[in-house]
Amino acid sequence: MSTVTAGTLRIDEYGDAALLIGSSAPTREAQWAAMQTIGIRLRGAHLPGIESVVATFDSLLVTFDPLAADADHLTSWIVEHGQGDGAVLDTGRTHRIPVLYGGDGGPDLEAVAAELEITVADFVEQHAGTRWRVAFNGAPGGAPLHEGSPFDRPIPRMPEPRVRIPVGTVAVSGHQGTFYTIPSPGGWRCIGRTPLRIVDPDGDRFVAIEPGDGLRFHPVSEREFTETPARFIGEVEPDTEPVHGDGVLR
Amino acid sequence: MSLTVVDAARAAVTDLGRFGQAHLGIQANGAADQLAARTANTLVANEDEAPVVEVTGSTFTARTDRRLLVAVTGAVSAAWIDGVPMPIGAPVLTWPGAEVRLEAPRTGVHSYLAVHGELAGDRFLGSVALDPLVGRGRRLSGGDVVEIAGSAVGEPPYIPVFRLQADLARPASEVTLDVLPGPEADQFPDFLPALSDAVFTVGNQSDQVGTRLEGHAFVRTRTTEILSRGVPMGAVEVPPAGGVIALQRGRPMTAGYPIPAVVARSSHDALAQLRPGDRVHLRVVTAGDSRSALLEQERRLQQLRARCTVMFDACGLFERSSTSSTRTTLPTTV
Repeated sequence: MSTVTAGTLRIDEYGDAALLIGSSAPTREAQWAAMQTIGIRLRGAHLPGIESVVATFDSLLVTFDPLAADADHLTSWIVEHGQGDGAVLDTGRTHRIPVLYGGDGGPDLEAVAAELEITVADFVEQHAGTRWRVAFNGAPGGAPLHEGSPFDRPIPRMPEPRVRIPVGTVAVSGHQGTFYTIPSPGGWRCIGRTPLRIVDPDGDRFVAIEPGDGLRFHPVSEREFTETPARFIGEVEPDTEPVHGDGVLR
Repeated sequence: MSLTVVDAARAAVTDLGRFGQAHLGIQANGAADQLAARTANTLVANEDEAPVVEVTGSTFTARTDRRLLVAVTGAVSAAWIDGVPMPIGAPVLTWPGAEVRLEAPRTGVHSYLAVHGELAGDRFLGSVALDPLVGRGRRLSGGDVVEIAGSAVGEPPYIPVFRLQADLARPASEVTLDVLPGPEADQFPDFLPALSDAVFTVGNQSDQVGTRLEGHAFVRTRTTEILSRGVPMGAVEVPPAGGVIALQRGRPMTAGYPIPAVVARSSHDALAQLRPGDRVHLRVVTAGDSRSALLEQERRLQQLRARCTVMFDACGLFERSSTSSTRTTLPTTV
């Protein structure tokens, strides 16, 4: 496997149809921002033969048709266009997410609070009191993984994954949070449910929450949950917040 | 024009996949055996990306309402039109009301039925490929009517004395897959050297997410956590228990297991056609070897397309030939 390093970037050939890019930037946040920035630039460049671009926490996978794109050429392009300016990636948009904490939609709420050695009320206050930031849209089904946990320790996963988690479930694990956007198995801890639809499989937009967006959760009552229409989050205008550096990635 | 499904156990309308949406968490999916799907489309003068019927490990029967140009490729063991044997990997004209039947494969898993024109699928973000996670795509069952858009096939003025036959390898129950080192190859010092003697058996728990290659276990020399990251088709991952899983087109977008090897693109179709019990050898190759194999596949497919164009024109099957492929042409430096 041939490797090219340039500045803080490391580009590895990954088989004959993919490159795996990593970053040695000094902080997790800078690594993530670098990967997301290259991802955005790569998609925007519409280079021939590129099949997929998956930017995650600290890596970026680009897959290509080896008869329509050339690994060396692509590597050079990334070296040339992939140098970050160190800027924090934040869109300034903040989506407000109503959550019914606990109950049937959040069966792990009490256990997670106990593991963190705080009360359920404190957990809700801290979870809802933070501006989380979306790291990337991942599995399953475009789920916006978000970071910026206010808790003082990582939250362990389920020892055995659940077979089927309902749509709209809000979950936490480690220092991250996610949503179950489609019915699927999963091992994250389920702490609540939102009445909003996070993805829209019947529309052409599918996902409206993007990397660098902020999320603010707010608790709602069972009655408010039931009365909130199940709108796609893309139909709700996000708030605009000034960019500030509070969402340190851990 | 339409196809009426008479009998289907596991069949769907698909195409080559939903590319360019990975950043939204949407996997490409698409035809498991890409070359078989492209060949079927080539044989009926469609573009490579046209929708086809993918039949998985079962029989499939459909009735045609008009004269249709059809072709069957992939793992199918035999095919019939109204009980008359139908050649596999060749273009065939049906007659109105004819029943096309694909028998279940004896080796391999996926068969393809292409029809000249555009089969109606569930188009989502530019593709009709099935996405079982998101719940889009069109599965077929008995009684379904699949409309076909496009121009009707003319009546040939004479019966051609030639037969077009795709030169396509059929799935086997013992295969050699080409692999290249993966990102964690150096953390599994035993893995690549072991491959020259190792024979794997495809496990029963294999599916469209991943193919389990059983019979050998490998130990990683490091325990550092790998954060979730994108994984390509063909990535060979080794979970902590030591087993070997080759990831397929329906894999999750991201995964965190170490990957000592990745199946070369030239072997992806063979990987997708594996069924439980098949014997698998993994052979380490270079990217150049894989590229040569892909170029050869591509050359044959373009040759087939050229032959089809000439012969369809010669027998007056279409008013005017429109069989040019949208796929990138071969580099001239080959």
